[in-house]
This record gives sequence, C-alpha cells and structure tokens, in this order.
Amino acid sequence: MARALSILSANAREAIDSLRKARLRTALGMVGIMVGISSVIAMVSLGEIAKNQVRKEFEDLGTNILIIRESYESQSTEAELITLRDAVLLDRTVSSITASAPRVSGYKQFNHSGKKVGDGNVQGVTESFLPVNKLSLQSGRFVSNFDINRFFCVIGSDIADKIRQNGISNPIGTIIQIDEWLFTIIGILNFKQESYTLPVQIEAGRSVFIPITTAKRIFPNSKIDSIIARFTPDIDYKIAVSDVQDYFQQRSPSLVLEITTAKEIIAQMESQMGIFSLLLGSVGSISLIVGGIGIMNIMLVSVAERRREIAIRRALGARGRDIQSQFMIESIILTMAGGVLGILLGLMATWGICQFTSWEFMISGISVASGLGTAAAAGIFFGFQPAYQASKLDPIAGLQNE
Amino acid sequence: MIGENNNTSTPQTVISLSSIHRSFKIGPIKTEILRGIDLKVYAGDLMSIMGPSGSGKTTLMNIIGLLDKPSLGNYIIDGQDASNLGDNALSSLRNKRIGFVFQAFHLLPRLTALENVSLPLVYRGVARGNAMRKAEKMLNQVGMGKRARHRPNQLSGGQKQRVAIARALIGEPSLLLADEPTGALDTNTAHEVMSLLLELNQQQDLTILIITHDPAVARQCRRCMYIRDGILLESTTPDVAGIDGDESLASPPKEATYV
Repeated sequence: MARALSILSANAREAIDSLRKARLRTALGMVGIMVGISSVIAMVSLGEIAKNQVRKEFEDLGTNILIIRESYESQSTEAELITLRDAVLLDRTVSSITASAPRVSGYKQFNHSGKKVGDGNVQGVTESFLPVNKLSLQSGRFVSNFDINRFFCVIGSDIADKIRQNGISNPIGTIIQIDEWLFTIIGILNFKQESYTLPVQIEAGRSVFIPITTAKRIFPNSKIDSIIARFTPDIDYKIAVSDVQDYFQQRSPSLVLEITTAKEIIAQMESQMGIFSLLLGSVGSISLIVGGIGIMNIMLVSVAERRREIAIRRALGARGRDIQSQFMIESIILTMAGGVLGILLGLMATWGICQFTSWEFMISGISVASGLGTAAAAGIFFGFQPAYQASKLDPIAGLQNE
Repeated sequence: MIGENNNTSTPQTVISLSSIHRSFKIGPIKTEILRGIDLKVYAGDLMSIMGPSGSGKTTLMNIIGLLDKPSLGNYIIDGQDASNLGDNALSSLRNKRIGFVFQAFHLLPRLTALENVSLPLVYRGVARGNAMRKAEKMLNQVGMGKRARHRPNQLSGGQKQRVAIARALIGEPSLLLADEPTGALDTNTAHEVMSLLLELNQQQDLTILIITHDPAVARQCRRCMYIRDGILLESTTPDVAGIDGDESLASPPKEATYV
C-alpha cells in the first residue's frame, strides 16, 4: 500500500513534468477534449438552468393559468366570435374558472402635454386583469368595472418615468393623448419583469390600460385577442380546458379555440431544451471521441518515444503495472487539464446562450462534476491501450544502444 | 589470485548458474545462444566476462540481470531460485539484488542526478524524502555531491557514469552488473571510473561483474571469463581478446577450465 502510494505520487510528478516538457503537443491534445467537455458542461448546465427557470417562472405566475385565444382555424375571421359579453361572463358561468381577463389591444403613440412619451399597446381590459396577471400598482387605482366607457387610463412605469422627466412629478390626474382621444391617468403600475414563457406579451411597463368597453368603441373593428384565465388550483388543467371549450362551443359553434396551459408551456420549453441538448450532445460526443483518439495518439507517440526510458525504469525494478500507472496518470492529467479548460469554456457558452434566451445564468454543481467525471473517464478509456502497451514493452530491446 | 575465493573458508555464493541454456526462435529456425553455462559468483568477487559479438555475452548478462529467463537450467541468486519467476517477482528481485551500470549510462534525461539516483528506492516504495536523502549520500560517495541538481545533459561522460554507479548502489544490491562501463569514455575517464569500481570492490566488498571487450578492463579483475559460441570458459590470463580489443580476432584461452 505504501509502495503503491509513493509510486503513484512519483508517477504523478513525472507525468506533469513530461506534459510540461511537451507543451505544444499537450496543448493540441487538450483541444478536442476541451471542446467535448465544454459541450457536456453547456448541455448539463442549460438543462439545469431551464428547469430552474420554469420552476421560478411558474412559482411567480402560478400553474393554474389558461391563455385562451381564437385559433387561426376558426371559420370566420370577420365575425366576432368571442363577444365581450361571453368573455366577461366566463368566470361567472364556469365554476372551474375563478377569474378571467379578456383583452383588446392596439398599437398607438402616447402624447403628454404635447410631447411624445412613448409608443406601445393600448390595452382594453377589465378589473380582473390586474390580479390575473399578478400586476401591482405604484399609485392610484386600476380600471374598474364601474369605468364602463370612461376615458380613464392606467399607465406603465416606463411611461410614468417619461412623464416625470418632463417635469410633472405626479402624473395622476393629468391627461394623456392617444390619437384624438384624451385619457385621464388614474393609476401607475409597478415595474414587472416581462415573462417570455407566456405566449401573450403583457409589456406592462410600456402600455396604457383602459376600460375594455372604451377600447371597443375607439377601435372599431377590434376583437378580443386573448383571455387570460385562472382555474381552481385543486382541479386538473384538462377539466378547466374542456369546461372553457364547452362554454364557448354553446355560444359560438364555429369558434375554434387555442388554449395554452402551463403544462404546454413547460413542454414547449422542454422541447426547446431538447434541441439544445441534442445539438450540444452530438457536438460533445463527437469531439470527445475525436479528442480521445487524439489523446490516444499522443500517448502512443509518447510511449514509442520513451521506449528507452521505460526499459531503464524496468531495469531499475519498475513492474509492468508501475509503468502502466505512469502512462495512465499522464493521460488522465492530460484529459483533466483539458476538462478544466472545457468547463470554463462551457460555462462561458452557457452564459452566452442564457443572454440569448434571457434565462437566468447559474453554475450548476452537477454540470461541473459531470464534466470532470467525463474528462477522467476519457483519460482512462483512451489512455489504457497506450499504457498497457508501455507496460508490455521488452526492456531488453529498449536498453540496446541505438 | 582467482583460486583465493575457492580456497578460503567457504565464501558466500551470490549467484549460481547451472547448465543455463537460452534459445530464440526466429521463424522456424531455433538458434541456441547459450549452450550450458555454469557459473558461480561469490560475495566480494570482481569478475569480468569477455567475448566477441554474437558470443552470447549480452544474453548472459540479461539473464544474470533478471531481464531475461533461461530456456533451460537453474539460476539461483542469494539463495533464491529465479529460473521460473513471474514478471512482478523478477522486477522486485531485480530492484533489490541487481545494480546496473550501462555503457550508454542510461540516465533519464528529464530527471536531475539526484532524482535519477533515487529511482530504485522509489520503485521499492521508499518515501520521496528518504529516497532523496539516501541519493544525496550516494552521490557524495561517488564524488558527485556538488552536481546533484544537474540534469544528465549538463554532465560529462565520466560524471554521468558516476551518477549511474550511485544509482546502481543505492539499493544495496548483491551484485553490480556493469555492461561495458567504460565503453563510451576516453582513456583517462575510463581509468577513473574503473578506479572507482575497484575501490568499491576493495573497500566495501561489493560484488562486481563486468561485461567488456576491453582487455585493459578485464586485466584489472580478479577473475576473468571468456564466452564464445554460448560456452563460458574461465581464464587465468585476461589477455585473450586479441590485439587492440578487436573482438573478431579474439580466440578462446589455451588453458581453459570450465567452471
């Protein structure tokens, strides 16, 4: 045991020394492994990050959400198939739906005191829009069901900031102009991070919210573009979906609905992840194989170059397995060094992808561990044959003078 | 001179070879290189083996050095039968019993003199610190203490061979096996290295076996053997390797005695 340990430490020291002496070869040998490991790291990290992202997103939003939209498959695009009445009465009629927030919207420019303060969606909504989307107010109040046909509005935090920049410290009670209509500001929303997981964008910061009845009047051909609804948390989402389907089927037989659930959003994210995983997994495994063969080649060259050294060691009393362990350690150190660089590269790639998908970057311990594990495994796997060959070299041949 | 060991009160036998045969098969042809070698080396012996190329000299050295195994016959070293040992046991025995000195020095170029000398102890499982301390002592003993941190390419031929001798001695072997130890050195340096070996033999009773084709080297040994065509002959006069060390002209001694 003591012998094994002292030989192991001597071998490790030798291996590092030998790798340092052949710097270029070592560096080239590590590239393949580095790319392979970085792909593994990115793959595992992104999986973890996406899982975490979904968990956080729905912790925030709740999973009892339905997004109801008219499908492109609906027979008529002219007629209004979802009426305001039907939309508003949804939560009062269907017992599994606790709240529903229909929306009408149009893109407009906003002016305040003769200056442009932004452009974005004018969203016609009902009172329930605020709680259903988990929005909150900075000041004032939200549109209420008593504001039917009134020209009141609630503005997003970006617009409020812009108005304040123009010297108006309290925008509430002032007038905002949209086309030829003038709206009195009655409330300001708090900033909320936009969720990109939902199929419907709220863009609360850059929007102006007005009573849905008013919106129907000022946008003549407007249709309800979406109803965001909440169902009782203790029931299966499928029941809520079929209840909603039945409700609209009775009232508007030609209407085809597209109802998105949290389950579907999660599935969609997972399939997005699947594409990344497939891509990274194939890049990773190909480069690991290519890199591993590179390592094997380097080790075979190293063994061939050091036949004399091996023979001398054998003459001094090294056993076959001492020689084998020396070359195995060399190969493992080589792949582990490539692995460490690969981990750094992989984390950088992960960070880049997170920027692109606006997911929250984190370093997952599992990914680092799996990267190191894969690197060590590659070292053992691809180093075995050269090391075995080294251990079987005939010392007599190696000692002969060249 | 050579009779001394045999006559004095039973000296300890270090190695004993009896009817050693070694043959190699090259394709269908079997070539017998060693054809029944008998040899005893006693503790404190200083012996040389001479012979022309192809005489079986190197094969014999490999067998004595536990790098090769005889096809037939028995080899006993320090009372242990080494004829049929496995690879690991041979390695371990080689590590403990044999100290090699080679013509080409065979130092590892990446290691310092100190690290080179410590290697046999490393393979014995001695902790690095202890191995290094002992190596330093050995280097001092061969007059290389000041060059302990040098690498082989920073040393002259004679210095390299001194380091190699220190490496051969560090494991306290039963037998120092030197293969043409002065073959790569100029006359002066060769003389110094031989003096060192003789000194070690006289002062520390080190058992030394030198394989050489240099009669000047053989002449300094107490026992001289001659090998030709796989058969070993003992000679009282070492001057048998022909003129100017040209082995092709070498002839077996006239008054040969089989050992």
